[in-house]
Amino acid sequence: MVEGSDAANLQANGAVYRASPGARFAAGIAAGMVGGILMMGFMMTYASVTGAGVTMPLKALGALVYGVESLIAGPTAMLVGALVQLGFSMVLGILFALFVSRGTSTIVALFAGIAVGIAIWAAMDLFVLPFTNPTMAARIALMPLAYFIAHLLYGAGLAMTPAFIRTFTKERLNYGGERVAETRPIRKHRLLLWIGGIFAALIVALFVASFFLDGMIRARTQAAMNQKLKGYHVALARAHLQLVGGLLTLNGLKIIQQAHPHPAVADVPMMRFHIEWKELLSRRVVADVLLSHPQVHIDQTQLVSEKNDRVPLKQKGWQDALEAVYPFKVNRFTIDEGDVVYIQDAVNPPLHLAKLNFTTDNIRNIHAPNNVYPSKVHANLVIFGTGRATIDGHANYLEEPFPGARTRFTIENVPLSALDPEIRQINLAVSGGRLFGSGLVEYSPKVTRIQVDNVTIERVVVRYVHAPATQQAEAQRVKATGKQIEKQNNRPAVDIELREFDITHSSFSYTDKTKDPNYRLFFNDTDIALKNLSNHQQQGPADLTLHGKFMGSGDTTVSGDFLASQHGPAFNMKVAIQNTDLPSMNDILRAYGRFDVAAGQFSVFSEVSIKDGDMNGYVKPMFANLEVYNYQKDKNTGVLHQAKELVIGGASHLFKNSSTQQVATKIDLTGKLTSPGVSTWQAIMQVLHNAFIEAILPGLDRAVRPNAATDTNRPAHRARSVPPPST
Amino acid sequence: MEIALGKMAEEKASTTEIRAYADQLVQDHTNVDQTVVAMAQKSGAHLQNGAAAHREGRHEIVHEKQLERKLKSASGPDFDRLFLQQTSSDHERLIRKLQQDREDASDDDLEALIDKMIPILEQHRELAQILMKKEQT
Repeated sequence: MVEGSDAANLQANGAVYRASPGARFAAGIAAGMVGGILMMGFMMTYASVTGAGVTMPLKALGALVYGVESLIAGPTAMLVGALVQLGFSMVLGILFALFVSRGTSTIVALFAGIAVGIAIWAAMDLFVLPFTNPTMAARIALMPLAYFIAHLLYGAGLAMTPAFIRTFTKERLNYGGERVAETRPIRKHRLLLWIGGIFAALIVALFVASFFLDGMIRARTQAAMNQKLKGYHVALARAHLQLVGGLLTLNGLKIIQQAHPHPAVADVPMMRFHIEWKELLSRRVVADVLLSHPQVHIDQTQLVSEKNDRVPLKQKGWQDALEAVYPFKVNRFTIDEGDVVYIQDAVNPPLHLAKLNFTTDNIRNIHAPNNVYPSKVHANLVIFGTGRATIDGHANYLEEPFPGARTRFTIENVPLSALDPEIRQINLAVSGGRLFGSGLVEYSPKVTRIQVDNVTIERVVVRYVHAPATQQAEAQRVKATGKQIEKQNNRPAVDIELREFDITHSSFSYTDKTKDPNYRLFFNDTDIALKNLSNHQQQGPADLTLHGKFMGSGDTTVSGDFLASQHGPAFNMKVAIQNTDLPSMNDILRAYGRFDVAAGQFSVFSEVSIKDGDMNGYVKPMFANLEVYNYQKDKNTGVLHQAKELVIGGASHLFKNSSTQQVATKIDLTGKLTSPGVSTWQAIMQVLHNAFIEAILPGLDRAVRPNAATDTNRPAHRARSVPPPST
Repeated sequence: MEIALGKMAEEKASTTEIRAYADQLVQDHTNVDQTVVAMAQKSGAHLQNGAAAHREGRHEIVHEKQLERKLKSASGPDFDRLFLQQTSSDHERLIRKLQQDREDASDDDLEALIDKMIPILEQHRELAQILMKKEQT
């Protein structure tokens, strides 16, 4: 009570407010009740969603009085449980109110309330419940996290105590210094409290109501997506929209190809949409989408069906389906631990991309919209079991007519043999081999840039088989490849650059099954280095070097350079193959020459240059220590009596050997290309074929023919077969 | 099996308490089943279907079939008694088995799951015994 001279001070200072014990008591009860209701509401909601039953928390509380029978005691036990909850809540609220005042700030009260909530949780979980209410302890053990969160909510309720104290504080002095009857608190404070209370109640109600809408949300989401998709449909197991926060969670989403519904092409255990809150600061309401552990599973039938579909995959309505699910545009997209499996057939192991993590942000170009590529991109994944790839860069998803991107990539330890079943379709077989590489790829409506800094392939065995059944397809493929290369040569806005490409400790073989007998040529223990390959002439020529063993024995060196010339093919090449064990070439000798050898070494030296339609060069085969036996002595067949006309040479007898008895000879390669428009690639292939196959073998035949008569009295030796390449 | 028994008792039990008990059985066992399936999926284990998983021998199948016939043909207090006896003994057996499994288990998650399941099963057993005593009085 304030008296006497103090009244003057009070008059000068205005009214004074003090919290009475009654105010504190009431505030503690009110805050405790709010906290208790929040806590109980949350636990009941959680129990309902998880299938434990919405009344389980009340029954568990009632077990304090009824023991385990509270689980079957019906409404009475639940009512007792509710009263227990509220009673304890109010008591603790009163105790809390003793330690705060009307002046305690909201933040401090919140921290204090939460701290008290955690302390109560720890005490209940560790000490109180196991001894006083083991029935409830057993039930809580099934939902430990929910129980903890519930205590945080209780603490948040306690944090309202200072506000309640301010509301209920009623004692003041008037200007005369007399204590007047208790008055109502300032309306403003009560109004704010009511608004706050209603708001809190609304939030709780929305939170609880969310769970009752799940069935409807699921059905509507599934229908909305299926309306937009073409050729595919989705099946959705569960959906939940949390009205407080706008969080939409889809569980068990399957994407099914209508043409081949089994198995589902994608299975997404969880897909989540939520508002990207930080972008509200930029005055944009956009969404963040997460796909958790999606699995894509495609077999060959489904892939072929998709390839043959008139509507391309990207036009199947995916974006529309995504936008139909959530009302806001997607600004951030994340894939967490994705998996892609392609089943080629029943025999070969599937191709597997695992642990795919992908994130892209700023899709709507909210930040840095003037940058060429404003959106960040990152991905990493495991390729075919042991390989790893990382992609980092930027993109512009809003670019027209299609999105552009510029990214750096790194690839490590990718097993090439995994691709073997697929590339057999182009007559190639691959075993072993590990791929490493890094570089940059930029693809947009304005530019295509592929800049490979380095690629290394280690220990690969590549086999090409030229077969009768695929001859025509192979020829078309060579032609098409050549055309494609020429198309990209010096093409504006297309930059293809390969700075360094190395193949180490590898083997390459070519088998020709169109000849009788079939023959095989190979290089083993081979290292190839290709530098500065570009599709633009001004980048200068590419350099190629090769070191290896021809047929396992001939020391081979190839060096050359070639240019993406605008005036037809342009290359320089030097070839040196020394001391090849000639019997290892018997198959090809039989195939072309109808003879074989018992011993000898074969060497060949060549230099060829093609530029501006002119070809200059030579091929010089050399044979040493030759011992030849007729393969079919009664038959005058299979001997090439004259060189075939060079396709790309003007002179019809350009490669025809001069009549000489020498084993070593030099064959001129000089002339004009009759088809200057052929690609550099085709030109190299044709020169190799004509010079080495068509020219050398006839030369060999003529060189050895004069000795054939004297050889007939020697006993026939079985020629050695071609040894397989060492790998 | 408990789920099936519980569902039968929800319809056929003659007292509110036993129906409440049956309802609680169904809810708890369904919940636990979902937790076990989720854990199995997470760990990559393959679960047999319910019938096969509980099969321990031909006599078990025969016993279950006999019990099912008995319960279907019973009604009123007879059904209540049979139901409570069966659930009590089933839970006793389940608790012993789980305690043994817990000793054999080497996986932390599995041990934690068993630790959570046993008290719930003990509550069911206790309730069954309380209700049986009430039936007898």
